Amino acid sequence: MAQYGLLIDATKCTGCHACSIACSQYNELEEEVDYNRLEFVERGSFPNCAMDIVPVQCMHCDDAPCVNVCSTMATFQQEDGIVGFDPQKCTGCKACMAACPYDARALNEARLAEKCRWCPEMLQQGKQPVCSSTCMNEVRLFGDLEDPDSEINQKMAKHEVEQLRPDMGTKPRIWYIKK
Amino acid sequence: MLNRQVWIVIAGMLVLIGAAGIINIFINGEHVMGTSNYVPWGSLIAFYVFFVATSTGFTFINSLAHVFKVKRFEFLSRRLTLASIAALLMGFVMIGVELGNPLAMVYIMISPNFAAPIVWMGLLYGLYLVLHIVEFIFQLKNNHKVIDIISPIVLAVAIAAQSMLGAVFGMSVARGFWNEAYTSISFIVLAFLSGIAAAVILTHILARKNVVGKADKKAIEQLQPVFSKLLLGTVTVVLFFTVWKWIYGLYGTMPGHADALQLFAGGPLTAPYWLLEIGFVFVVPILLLVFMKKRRDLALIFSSLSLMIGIFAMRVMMVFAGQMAPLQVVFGSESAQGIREVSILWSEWATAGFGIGGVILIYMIGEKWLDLNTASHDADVYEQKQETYEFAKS
Repeated sequence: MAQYGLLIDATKCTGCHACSIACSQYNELEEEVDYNRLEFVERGSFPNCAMDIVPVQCMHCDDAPCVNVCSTMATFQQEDGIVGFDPQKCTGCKACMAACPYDARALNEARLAEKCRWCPEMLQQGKQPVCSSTCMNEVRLFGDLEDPDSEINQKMAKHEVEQLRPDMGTKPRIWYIKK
Repeated sequence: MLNRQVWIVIAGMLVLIGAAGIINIFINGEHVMGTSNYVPWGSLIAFYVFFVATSTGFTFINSLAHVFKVKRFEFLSRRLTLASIAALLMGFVMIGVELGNPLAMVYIMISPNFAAPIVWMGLLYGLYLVLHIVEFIFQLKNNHKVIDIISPIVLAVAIAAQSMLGAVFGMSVARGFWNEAYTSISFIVLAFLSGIAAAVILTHILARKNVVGKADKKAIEQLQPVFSKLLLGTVTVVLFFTVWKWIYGLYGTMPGHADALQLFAGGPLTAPYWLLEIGFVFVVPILLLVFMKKRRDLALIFSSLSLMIGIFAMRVMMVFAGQMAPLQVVFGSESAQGIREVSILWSEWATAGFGIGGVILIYMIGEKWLDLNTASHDADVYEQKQETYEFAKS
């Protein structure tokens, strides 16, 4: 069974928001719901300054707090490591939203705490999630972590990578290439 | 003091306005609530905590008679149990309105996640309600054998449920303000405090309105020094927790924890925190209970009213503060600056009103249709009441 992960090369991100828009269109998200967002970090002081752009979404953590707190198993860990979501089972208690250290859950009109599912229909067709396939700069590389020859593993071996908030102990499945 | 009809009219109006708020929430969802994706848990969660904690507190006072054999509290048993059940039911209403899809609760039975504190909290509170109703039935039947067996279990389940509710917050690793080992313990202590304060208010009304007979009225009067000591002692323990929360938060400058404390010290929660939490929960009750011993009845009722208002606000601020400080997903990012906005909209206030009105109505229905005067199973109770009185006087 493939074990999916994502490598983000944020240094290439232009901040065009194509990933967020593609995600919203593909998942037919409502206005206030967003699975993908960009965080902006300023460095230095004018005139010697720069801005980092960090794409943030559900980290599909191996030890996901949202899975742990979900009373009905509406949020669950799939065999391929993706953190899935079954809206039918969701009580709308929002415990997952309170528990997520990445602010990655969003409440929809039906008051269900939706999340990124890494486009399961696309994966079934052997394609990348839309946020990855849409990106013009190939910022996002989605792949199988179990396959030693996968592109994601090869690229990860060449670069120093880091994760967001590793101190939370959630073991995220998204890595970021350091500068 | 208001008469029975006025109480019913006020409670009825609160329930009606509350029903309008609840319907509005069911129709329009989160749009008519002060929550957001960044602050998902709003005031209804705080109201839920307030009501179920008060129920636990009532059970604590009730247990003094049947578990710890302090007979002087026995005459209040039925009334305290009824009030506890009413508060618990209104707590369930609060959480029912808060849930976006309450019908999916059925999946707690079909596919429960036993790693989730909410599952245990739900199971324990469900068990607590059932046992409480059974206890009440046997109290009405005056079957002390069963009551003596079931009461310790009710107390244990109530404490377990309340501590599990604390764990729902305390186990949120992402929220530094809640994520502490003693969150569950402080929940229990604060629940006791709200129960004692509510019991004082209830007994004050019972005595002032001559709902109870002369003997019980006298007994209530004799309980005043005991209530006074219980209140003062429990307020002191809560103060202890509060002081250490500040020290830990500021000393460690832990992300989330220290940020949340800053909301109380120069942030948007400063005024409500110092007025309603520090003022109403600590300063006013301590001053009244320590310095107004000559008018202990007044000191008790005003300190209890102050406490109920303060604890209500305390619950809301606890829930809000844990989420208003932004999560540091990406250190130094723009979204990690500032404060997450949250508010309480009219539908939420109305729902709280429904809870308060509901508790009053359920209690008054019980008072009207049921015999709430506990028949003692101990012939020496009156003597013990006298002893208490003498002890208090000394």
